[in-house]
Amino acid sequence: MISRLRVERTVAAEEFDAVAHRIVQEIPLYFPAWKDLKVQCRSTELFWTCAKVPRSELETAAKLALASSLYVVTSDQFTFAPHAASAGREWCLEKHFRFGVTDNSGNVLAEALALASPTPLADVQARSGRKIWLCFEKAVPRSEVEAYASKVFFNELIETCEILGPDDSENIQRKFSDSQLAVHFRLPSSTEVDVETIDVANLTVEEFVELSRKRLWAFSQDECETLIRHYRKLARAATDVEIEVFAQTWSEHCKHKIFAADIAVTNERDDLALPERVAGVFKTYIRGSTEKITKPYLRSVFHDNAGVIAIGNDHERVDVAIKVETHNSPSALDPYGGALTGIVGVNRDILGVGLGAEPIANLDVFCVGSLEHREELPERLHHPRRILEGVRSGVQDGGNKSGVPTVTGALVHDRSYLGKPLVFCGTIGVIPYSDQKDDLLTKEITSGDAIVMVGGRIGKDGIHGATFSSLELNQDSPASAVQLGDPLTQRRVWDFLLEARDARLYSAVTDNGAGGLSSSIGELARLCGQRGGAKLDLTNAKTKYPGLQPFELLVSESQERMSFAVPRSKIEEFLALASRRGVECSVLGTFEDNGIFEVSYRSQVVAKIDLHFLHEGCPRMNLNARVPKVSLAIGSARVGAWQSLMQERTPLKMVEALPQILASENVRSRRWISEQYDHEVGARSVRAPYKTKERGSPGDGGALRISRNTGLGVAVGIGLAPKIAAHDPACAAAVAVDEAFRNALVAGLDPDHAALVDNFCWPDPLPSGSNPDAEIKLGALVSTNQILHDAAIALGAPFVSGKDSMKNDYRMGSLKISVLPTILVTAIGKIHDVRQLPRGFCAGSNRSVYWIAASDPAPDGRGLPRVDFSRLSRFARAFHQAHREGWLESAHDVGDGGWLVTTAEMFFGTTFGIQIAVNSKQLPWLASNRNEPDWVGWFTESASGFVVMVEQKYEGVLEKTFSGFFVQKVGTTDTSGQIAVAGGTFLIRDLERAYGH
Amino acid sequence: MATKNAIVLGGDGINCHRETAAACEMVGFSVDLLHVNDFLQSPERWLNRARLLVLPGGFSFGDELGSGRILALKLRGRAGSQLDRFLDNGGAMLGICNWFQVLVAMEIFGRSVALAHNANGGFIDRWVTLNITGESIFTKHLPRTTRLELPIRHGEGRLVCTDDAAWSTFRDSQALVLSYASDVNGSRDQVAGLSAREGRVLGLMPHPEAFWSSELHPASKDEKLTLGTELFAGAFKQL
Repeated sequence: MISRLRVERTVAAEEFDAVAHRIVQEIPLYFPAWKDLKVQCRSTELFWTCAKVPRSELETAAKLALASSLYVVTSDQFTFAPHAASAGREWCLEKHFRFGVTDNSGNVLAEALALASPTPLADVQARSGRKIWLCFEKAVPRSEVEAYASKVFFNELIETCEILGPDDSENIQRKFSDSQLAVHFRLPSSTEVDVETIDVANLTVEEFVELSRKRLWAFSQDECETLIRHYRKLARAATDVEIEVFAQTWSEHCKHKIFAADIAVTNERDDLALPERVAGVFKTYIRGSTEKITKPYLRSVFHDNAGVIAIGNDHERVDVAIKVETHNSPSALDPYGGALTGIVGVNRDILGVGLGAEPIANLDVFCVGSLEHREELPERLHHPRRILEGVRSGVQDGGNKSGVPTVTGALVHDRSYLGKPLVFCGTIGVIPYSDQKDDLLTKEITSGDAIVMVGGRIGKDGIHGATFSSLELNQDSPASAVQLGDPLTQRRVWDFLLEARDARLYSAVTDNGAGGLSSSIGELARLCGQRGGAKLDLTNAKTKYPGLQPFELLVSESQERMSFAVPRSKIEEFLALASRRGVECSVLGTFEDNGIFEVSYRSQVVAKIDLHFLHEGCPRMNLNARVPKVSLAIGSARVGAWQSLMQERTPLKMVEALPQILASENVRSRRWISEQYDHEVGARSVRAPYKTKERGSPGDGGALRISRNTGLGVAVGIGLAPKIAAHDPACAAAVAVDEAFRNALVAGLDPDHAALVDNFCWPDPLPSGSNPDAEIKLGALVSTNQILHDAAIALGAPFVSGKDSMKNDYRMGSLKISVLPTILVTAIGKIHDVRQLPRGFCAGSNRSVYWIAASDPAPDGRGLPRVDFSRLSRFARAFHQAHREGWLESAHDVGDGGWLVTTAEMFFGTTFGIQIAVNSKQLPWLASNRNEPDWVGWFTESASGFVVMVEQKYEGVLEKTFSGFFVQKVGTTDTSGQIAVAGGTFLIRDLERAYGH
Repeated sequence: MATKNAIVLGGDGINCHRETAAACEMVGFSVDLLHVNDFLQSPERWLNRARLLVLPGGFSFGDELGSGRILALKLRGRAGSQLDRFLDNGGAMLGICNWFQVLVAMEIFGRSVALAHNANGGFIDRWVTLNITGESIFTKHLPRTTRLELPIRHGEGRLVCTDDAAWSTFRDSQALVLSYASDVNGSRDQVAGLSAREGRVLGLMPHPEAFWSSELHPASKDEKLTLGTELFAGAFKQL
């Protein structure tokens, strides 16, 4: 017989309830309506368990698994039942996951029950939830509690929530009835295998387009025509499974059709040379530039899950892999789950490069709306504050629980990200270098190798993620596209994978990401022999619950899964090792060399697809792009963080301007975020996000020590400048490359051993009735690519990996919110010796402080920064030389907020100070124009700039090293603890407080 | 000289096992880096050849249901008595961060001690200064004036003791080995590390293996700082 049990666990009354404490603290932030209301809170963890044992045994096991001296554990008893004395003021909010949503606590409890039980437990299941008890100082209406619940406490896409108020005592009793408990373990009714035939050959294009829209296949009209022709030629109907495979493989997300499209360019700009036709921006510009830069350290570019470069010295060599992904649509729907799966997902890309690399560092970049956003939000949109807290905690759990340090990142606020937030997640990994034949970068599959799916089980979660992300966000966006991640399962897979790799137990591996098995096996199949192929049998695929249809098994994007090709001779050893490591495997057929991707289920063939047509048959798009003339009006205000102060038109003085800019949203400290990330697990992180002992001074790029024997390391920097894209996307691209490169240079990058990664997040550039300016958005894409191409060649830093996300729009009725065209550039490369890096902060008094830059720091006539890559290229080499010679003591790249902010940041956390003695006679750009306040020059956000400090005896060598570039001594450090500048003197301590420390 | 063996355990979500093994090797130990499942196959066999059992940080079982608890449940049932014997016979044990939480859940330090959520309710990664305020074989070679600087990286590191008498006994027996110089997570008396078994067992929340080379420190690379690996070196000298 089945026993069922509800267990509640609450922190003992005399102990501090940290979760409840945090909930109360966050109420003013997330639910301002209650900000002046006194609230008491207690939080309770809920568990539902069932197993085929007597109830008393289940109860004993549950108590053993859950009890500790800090908690009170009760079964079948409701803690905090409403109390007569506080009638009308007490509420209980109880939430649990919807069926099928990943429930990590529940899964671990099931494992724990088995460990705790003296006898083996049969059919054990467990689920988790949370209850909070709120007691207000006065009565609040149910409607307010409901609003709080849906805005703050739970997400209806993945959870259900019950609100128990003062009048609900009957409902409380009901919670313990067996029928109520059974609800938590209800299985979906198992359905018959249902493979639908779709007679594509006999559909009109219009009918197919309509069907495609309804079923979330996201086919274009051309693609519909191509498929109709294909099935007419085959003279048979298609199965739904086949159409799903095409939909995944041909999705914009997987196929990057816009980046492959033929584009006719109308260029109205005379300051930017562009060709009239571009046969694929990826081929022409990204891969095109890499092909023109021959670098011996390039190991694997563009064709695998990540780009790979070799780094080394006379003693050792190692391959370094990098991949940056975006997870925007899922993060819009459920920020926590979206970001968590984003980060563990890109970790899997690294695990799946070559025969498997080990993730050693993450980076993350968030673009969200203003945290102070006050207007009513359209349907389905979360407040930026909730988005940010969700993605932050998602990256926290994804990174920390996997054991991957988050070494660098950025946060950008802009109104255009209200509709879709951008969540970039990147991972760096290492693979032992080998120039032998059994090179760890080569995947080679032999006909007959087994297909093995490893790790998580398949559920309905994430079905249509790939096609969904190729559509705009609207009210019909499917909840099944939302998933939560399970870092524990993935870490187990990771440990297993490296062990199996080093024992050479498999011949190929790739991750299961977008498109699920359909994509992972479809891709691996190409690597088998001459023609490629696979016979995939879904019958034995491990599932989370019964009742999945073949097409769901094939396209589900359930997380934590890797697909392997395992030679027959190794399969037993492979499976045995997995079992010893607590990792589940499903053997799902074989790879073949017959050119066919065949899928079967319970002895029935459900799809049979020509592999070549699957991968090459997708028609190429023909698109038009227009690059409009940019206005070169002289005298525009310079673009920068200072502008956020001017919205209220208060005339500010310098004494107010500096602290306010430091406090502004795009400048202020992110330490509260980075300190919740583990940024040093692995014991490789050389540069903390906030340096000095007081954790005051913000860092630039990340630096990792790769070798314990020598100082060999990897530097990584990031750059993006969407606010400039609003004026000129081409300039934004240049600034992004410039910033990423400088960021990495300060972290020790050798510019002769560098590589770049591009990530595009664009508003939809495909024409339609609701997208009248598509051509301009596509024009921005072309000009951005042209700049990236030119920059890469000038710097000698090839692109090795990239990704594009092309539908970052939100539409509801006539309201449309599109993101600014956003290009994120990541720079990565070798550090010769991490023990010799310059600091980011002031190291003492009597240091000479210089402002230096590769390009003219004066803004151009439009108020935009100037970037000259051939100068930056030469400058970077001089900079690196200076750092290797050891006299460049401190350096910090000029970023948001400009020169004065950057200079001030270097004193945070120190007791030093400076009197800045430059004026507009020496630096004409310090003067303001008629559209600017008089202090604006100090906040000029020049590209290619650095603030550096050297001991006084090195002034001469510095000026000589950077002769020909912009070099200006601005002062000497002292022990005053303050910054004095024309217009004001500031205590560093005050500035740091304004900055948010 | 005979080799001195240390066991380092990984698996089930532990993620600092590599750098912890490297720290052991740096100070002279020869290391058996084992998956916990392999260790549990024959704990006696592994323990017989080791003088030190090092238990690294990470997120065992994803910290679900309380950090360290489920791994403790797994160990207690399958290696509890073997660990007792190992310690009775003079073996030493170092539990870092998540494994400190495991040792606490296994009641190595008694039933009155627990590690609860940090006072701010969140995860903290921050370098802290530690004072030596008790005795252990790991710190014996360091003068009491030593100030150790190490990172903490935890969400549940607030040391709680529900029994004042037991706490006094800890203090009197020099078991409060390491204390934070300032309050970072709300721990009782700012204690960061506890010892048991005459100082042969040390559990601590900060990560000594993380500070194995001076440039990893966020503030300085040239101050004369004591590396975290000194704790491993101390054990190597004593064992």
